[in-house]
Formats: sequence, C-alpha cells, structure tokens
Amino acid sequence: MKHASKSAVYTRLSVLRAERGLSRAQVADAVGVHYQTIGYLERGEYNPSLALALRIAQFLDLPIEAIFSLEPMAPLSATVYERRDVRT
Amino acid sequence: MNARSPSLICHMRERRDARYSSKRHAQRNEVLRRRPVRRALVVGSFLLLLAAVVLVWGNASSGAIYLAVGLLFVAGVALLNVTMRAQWPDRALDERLVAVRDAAYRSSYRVVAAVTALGLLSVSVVWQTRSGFTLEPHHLRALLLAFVGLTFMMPTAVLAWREREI
Repeated sequence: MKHASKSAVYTRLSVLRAERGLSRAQVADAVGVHYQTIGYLERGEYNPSLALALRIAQFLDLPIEAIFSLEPMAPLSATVYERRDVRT
Repeated sequence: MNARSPSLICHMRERRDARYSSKRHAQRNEVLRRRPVRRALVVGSFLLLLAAVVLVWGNASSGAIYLAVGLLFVAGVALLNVTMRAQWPDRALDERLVAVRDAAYRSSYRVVAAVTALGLLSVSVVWQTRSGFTLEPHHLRALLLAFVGLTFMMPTAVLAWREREI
C-alpha cells in the first residue's frame, strides 16, 4: 500500500467563515487557538488535529466532512447547484 | 510539610494564564515583527556573541567584554520581544504553535550539538598540535559563554528566522 509522505487536508473554512461574517479572531477564540492558526488552516499550510477539526465543526454546526476533506473540495456553489439539479 | 494548597496552586495558575493571555494579544513592535528585521536581529545577535567570545578568549579588557555582553543582552531582549513564544509552556500555546516551537527546539538541539562538538574538537586539536598553547581559565570562560549563549539564543533565533508570521 502506498502512503503519501505528507497528506494534505483540504478545507472550506474560509468560505464558511466569510458566509457567516466571522473574523479569524472570532473563530480562533471560539475554538481556542491563535488567530494566525486559522489563517494557516485556511491556506492549507497546517493540518488540524482531530480535536481541533471537531471543535471547528461543532462551532460552525456542520459535519466535519463539510469543512475538511482529504480530497480537493468542489466549490460550494457547484455543490449547491448540483443538488438543485438532482431535486428538479 | 512544605506543600502548597490546591487553591493557591489554582490561583497561581490562573494568574499565569491571564499573564500569557494578555501577552498573546499584546501588540508587539511592528518594525521588529518584520521578517527582514528579525533576521537582521538574529545575525546581529550571533555576531555580538562571536565578538564577546573572541574578546573573552583573547583576554581583552573587561570594558570591551562588558560592552559586547551588554549589547548582546539588548539584542537578545529585542529578539525575545518578538518571539516570546519560544519560552512559553504548552498551556499558553495552541497545537500549531506547540508544533512550531518543538520544531525550533529540535533544530536548535542539532545546531548547538554540532557547534559544541566542532568547538571542542577544534580546541583539542589546537591543544595537541600547537606547542606552548595552554588552556587558561579565560579560554574556558569563552567556551562556556559560547555554549550558554548558543543554548539560550538558538530556539528563539530559529523561530525568528523561520516563521513568516510572529
């Protein structure tokens, strides 16, 4: 089995944060990290621990897989329109 | 029995956490926070340490040594002001900052170990090959200054050099 030496974690955190009008400092305070850490997470320069990912998911009231993924995430708008197409 | 009561320990911890929290949100000097300035400060600090070690090794006048050590102290305080986190405990940092600090300590350990081994090797080679060279107390003081200076400065210097944001 082939393992990637450094697996990237993709995130939608910046989109979700912007959507809710939250600053990095607000998210950081809510989940108990430094505000720069939120920036590092959003840029994909730091992979969160499971505990931090769960705290962020809890704070945003979303399932963890809606925020973080091991695969590149489709844009949120594309995901939404695809779902609308399915319903119609 | 000299044990402190749990409430006193809790009170002291709370006070310490509050102190770290206020430091964490304190605005540090914007000029010093810029990476080129931080790197210049690191280079300057090490040059001052080298100057102080050379002065002590050469048994220079105490005034020159005090000046070099004084300037080194000022540079060290300025460096600590921008990278205070190198000295903080885990409780005061988040998981990323703990990882960053630990990586800085790992790199520092390697550098200090290599420089110390190289320095001691050089001294022993000089001792054996140069006739008439004797290891005087001021030589030992210089080696001690180099070792202590490197050990204390290196983690902070690594953080100041590497980190994009501080």
